[in-house]
Amino acid sequence: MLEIRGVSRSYRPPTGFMRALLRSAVTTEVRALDDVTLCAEPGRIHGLVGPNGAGKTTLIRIVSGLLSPDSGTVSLDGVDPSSDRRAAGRRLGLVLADDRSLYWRLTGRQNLEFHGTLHGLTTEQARSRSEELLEQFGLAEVDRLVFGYSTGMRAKLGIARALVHEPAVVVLDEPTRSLDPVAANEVCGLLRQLADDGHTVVLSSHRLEELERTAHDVSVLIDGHIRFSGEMDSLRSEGSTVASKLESMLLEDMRPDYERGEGPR
Amino acid sequence: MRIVLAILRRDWAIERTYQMRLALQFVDMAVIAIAIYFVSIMVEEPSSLAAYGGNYFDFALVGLAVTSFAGVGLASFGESLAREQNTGTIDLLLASPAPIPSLMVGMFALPFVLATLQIAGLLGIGIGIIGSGIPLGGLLMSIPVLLLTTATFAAVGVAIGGMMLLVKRGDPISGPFYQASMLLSGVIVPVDLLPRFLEVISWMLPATWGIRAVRELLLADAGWQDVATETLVLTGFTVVMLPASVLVYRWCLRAAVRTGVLGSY
Repeated sequence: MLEIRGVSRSYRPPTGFMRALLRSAVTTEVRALDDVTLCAEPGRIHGLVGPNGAGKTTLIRIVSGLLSPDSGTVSLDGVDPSSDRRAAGRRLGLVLADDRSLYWRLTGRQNLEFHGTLHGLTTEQARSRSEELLEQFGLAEVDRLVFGYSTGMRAKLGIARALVHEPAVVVLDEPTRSLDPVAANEVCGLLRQLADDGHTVVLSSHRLEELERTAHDVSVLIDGHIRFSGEMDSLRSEGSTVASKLESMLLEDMRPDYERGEGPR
Repeated sequence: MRIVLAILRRDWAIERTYQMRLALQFVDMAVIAIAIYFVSIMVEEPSSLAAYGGNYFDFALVGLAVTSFAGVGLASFGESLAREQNTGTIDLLLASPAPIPSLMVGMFALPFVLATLQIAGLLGIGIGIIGSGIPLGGLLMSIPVLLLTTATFAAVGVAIGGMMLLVKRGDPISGPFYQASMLLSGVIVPVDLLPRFLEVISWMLPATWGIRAVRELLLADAGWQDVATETLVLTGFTVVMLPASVLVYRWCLRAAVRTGVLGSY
């Protein structure tokens, strides 16, 4: 289970000694997350939706321990990543938005075996688990360096890599972003399978129809605030799809920004 | 240890896909050795090298071998971190449960193996065949001295690696430190030929003690007791510098997580 309670995080321009060292992307304080609370449960897919700059990636980086929150707590199956990085790492499978996060000059098998060992598997366990995942993801026959993979194959390999140590919680940051509909559909099928197997799955995505088909629950994150968090079914109503409801929720919240000529942050 | 070996295997698998670079690494060293050989023809039996058998080729080659080997400790960690940042893989390494010291040692592993092969080739062919021969006992006794010298360079390298997590590019330390070591540690000119104030500075550099000890062992038939002072001084440097560098690295990593610059490059 993944529980996020009252998490806030701002990006501030560096001051003092750090100002001399760092060239920051922000010149004024930006409130990326403001009192964010959500709960993702085992056996369910929790969608995370929001416009660009809403704070989704910041939230995922906090969950993975790569960024510390200013306040609030994260619990990955009872472990707070900001206080116990290693225990949290064993519980979390992470798929980042960037397919660069694979080693392109290794084969898929080598990538999986390496990450398996990093997550505490023996060489033999890492080898057999990698074999099993390659088989499951339809990549077993592909014995070439990752730079020779198609985008869809890399997306699947990224998910397989996140599962190599059989984590309780899997967090995916826009895994279908650059995939064609067929490959995206295949990835969503794999995610449903993961939830059926008892994993807690958090799926950040801009594809609303895909979320409607795939997720059980959804949190709408806008401007660092959670605007809605609950079951997908609670958004269903006659005459409109969940996707169109989500879309109108997003557009409604973004309109004032566009009217001011600011667009999403 | 398993993680160190996994990183070594990964780095070797990646390195093998850049065959040209791998080959050129060995050619580089041979070219430098040949250049020193021709210089040594001009510099015949200088009196200042009498303590080391009077052969400039052997003298300079040992100096070069020690600094090249130790230099791996200086540069390899920062380079590995920069590579992980550029390829986007650093997030997954740091979100994994792998202990940070294991990751650090792993990132040093392949560069050290390659440097050991280079240095063995350089000394074996250089002094063993062209020069006046290497005593096996001296070679074995040189190993701890080499490792201590390398540990001091690695300490600087770890601190630099930490800084690179924050500042990304523009390492202000390793270049001056390596150049100062090349110029002032007696790599190509005996330390006692330097002006007095530079000689004083040279004794503050770990490489000066390391090179002096290895030369004594390889070129002057010295035994353990003859290099006890140098070994003690190097141990002192290591005991102070290594923990200090790990503290600097941890501070930088925490600062990168706090400020949110860990994944940027």
